[in-house]
Amino acid sequence: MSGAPASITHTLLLERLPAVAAPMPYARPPLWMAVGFPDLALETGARDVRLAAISCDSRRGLVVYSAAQAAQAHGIRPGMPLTAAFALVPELRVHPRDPAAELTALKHLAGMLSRFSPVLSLVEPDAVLLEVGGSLRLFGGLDELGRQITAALTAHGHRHVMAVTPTPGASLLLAQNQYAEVITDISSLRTALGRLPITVLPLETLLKRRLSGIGVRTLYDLWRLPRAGLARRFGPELVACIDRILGRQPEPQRRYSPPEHFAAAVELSAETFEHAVLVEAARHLLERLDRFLRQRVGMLSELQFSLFHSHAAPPTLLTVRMRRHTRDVARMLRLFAERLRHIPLPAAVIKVGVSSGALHAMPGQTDHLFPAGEDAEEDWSSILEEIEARLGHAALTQLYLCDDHRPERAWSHQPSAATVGGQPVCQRPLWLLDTPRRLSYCRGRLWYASDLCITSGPERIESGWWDGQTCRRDYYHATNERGSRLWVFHDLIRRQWYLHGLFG
Amino acid sequence: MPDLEELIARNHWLWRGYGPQSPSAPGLGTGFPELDAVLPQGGWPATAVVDMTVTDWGVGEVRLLLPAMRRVMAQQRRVVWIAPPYLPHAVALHQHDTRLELLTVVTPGDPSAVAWSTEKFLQAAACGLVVAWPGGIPPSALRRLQLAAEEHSTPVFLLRRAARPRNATPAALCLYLRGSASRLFITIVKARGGCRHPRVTLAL
Repeated sequence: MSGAPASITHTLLLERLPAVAAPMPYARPPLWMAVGFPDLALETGARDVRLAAISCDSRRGLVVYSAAQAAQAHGIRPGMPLTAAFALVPELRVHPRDPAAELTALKHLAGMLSRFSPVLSLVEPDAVLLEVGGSLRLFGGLDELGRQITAALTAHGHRHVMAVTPTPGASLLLAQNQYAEVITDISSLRTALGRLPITVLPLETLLKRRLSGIGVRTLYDLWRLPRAGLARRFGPELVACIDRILGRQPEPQRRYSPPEHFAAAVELSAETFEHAVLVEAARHLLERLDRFLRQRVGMLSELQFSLFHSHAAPPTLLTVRMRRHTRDVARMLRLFAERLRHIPLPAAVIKVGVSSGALHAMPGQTDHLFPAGEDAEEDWSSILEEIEARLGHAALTQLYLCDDHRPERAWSHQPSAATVGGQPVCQRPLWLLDTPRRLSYCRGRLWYASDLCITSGPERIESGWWDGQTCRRDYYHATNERGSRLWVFHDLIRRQWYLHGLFG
Repeated sequence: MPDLEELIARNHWLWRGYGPQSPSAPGLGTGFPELDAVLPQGGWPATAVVDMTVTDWGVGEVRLLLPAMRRVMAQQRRVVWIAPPYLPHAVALHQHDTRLELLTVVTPGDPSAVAWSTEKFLQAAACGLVVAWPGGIPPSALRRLQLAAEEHSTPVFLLRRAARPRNATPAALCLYLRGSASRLFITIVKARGGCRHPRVTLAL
């Protein structure tokens, strides 16, 4: 114990550690990575300002919550009263803290980290906890995982501190106090943490002051005190805290699932009616959607675009529906462009937004030996979508049989729930008229383009007395002199002749 | 003349002046042996536009196409009807052993969309046959469809109602249908690859 180094290295030790522990076939010890974002408030509230600080309310009035590097160089420290800060740096730009925006930013970061581990929790206000033990094999070890996380976070301009230990409590303790440490072995956890000052413990300030009052300055000092005595003098809270940090007591984490929908918007540089500009903006948004879908292994069937106009006009909404769940953003963009062409824009567009409908899990894919079936179906539905986008939903129909004797009700565009029983014995015509056409008489004979000649019949259809659409008809096959084969009926209720179909 | 037959069989540069000139891709069987016998490819051209002029609806123009449709559906490929003049009657199609789930009916509001949607459907690999009732279609659009049909190897049947057949058409096959009491008279107005008997009568 006394051989522990006196100072803590503030560097990431990832490179020096063994890549992966020997694979354990049954129980894999968990490994928790805490990623702390010490400047999150600054990054969300006052990005791109050099001499910036974030203020928050405290018992002593407004105090500095977080200060930019340049401001810290002038001696501004967190916790300092704002008046003192202004006395030091009069040109300091102070923004009030916005916890809601910070939470949104933290959720965004968690969403980004969700591709490194499925077990993820948010630790407000400024840290994310990931269980990475299960991700090591996929990412090729802790080194590589750390490198990829660093690359992803740096690309978004977030300063971060990563700490990895076998317990969530210890990881958080390290990361939130800006110690970038990696401790993979639980037996060395106690020793490694011993060097930390007791101020890092997530306990009340009063309790920590009482501890330092008896000469406890580091955690190592705390480890040396007898447990029973600690519990008696400082209450069970301190012991429980120690137990959680050292992994003697489980510390369940509330799991965070990133939102299952996508919403984003892009502002245009100038108001425009130009379709090309709008499509370009949509392409930009859909690229982000593509990344989102890849991370979530999800697919979509509905997207809503909002075209925002200036002067408080209500946004134009444009919904793109796909017939099947898909991840193909190129197809979504094509459909958007097609819909855009047929929608009037009431005013110039200043902003384009997109939000996704419910996300669907992507089924596992099986490659076909002969690539035919699934691809052809996918291709077919994409063609139908394009047709629908131009001609409207009603233009595409499918025919279904219905269980009814009345010819106009024996079919429908919707699949019917009832099973279709017996089909008529007599031949039905391929063409049906929307509404039967009344036939006229010419020189005492039925006439349609020319004189009609009845060739067979009658077939009595009498049905529908129960739903008010009673029909009592005698159907005949007829031909005219021009060779058309017709299906005519004599309405026994109205005593009239009608043409109802053609045999095509 | 067995020597001549043998020569014709062996040499592709020899052909009969009155016979089909290039027995290219085999056609899609029409289901009517009399018609198959006279069509240059032994059936409907599988990768071309068939332009059919019908004197009146109801003479048997759809019944003429049903066997080809059934053949396409048997291969699990889809059939599309675009802008039919009346409601297709599901019960009758079922009676003719047509698989309704493989039939898609499109009713575009404006006539100019007929050629566009026909071309779109030709792009789908799952689509095996398109029947369209285009009304008036300009020759340029017809030429476009002919090229699309060749490119995607899908037959297209265009049905128009007119008293006389169209004179010049870019379609590979042009038929004129007339009906009488129970017969359908088919005149082959134009057939790419020549034709021996330009008239067929079918009893449908």
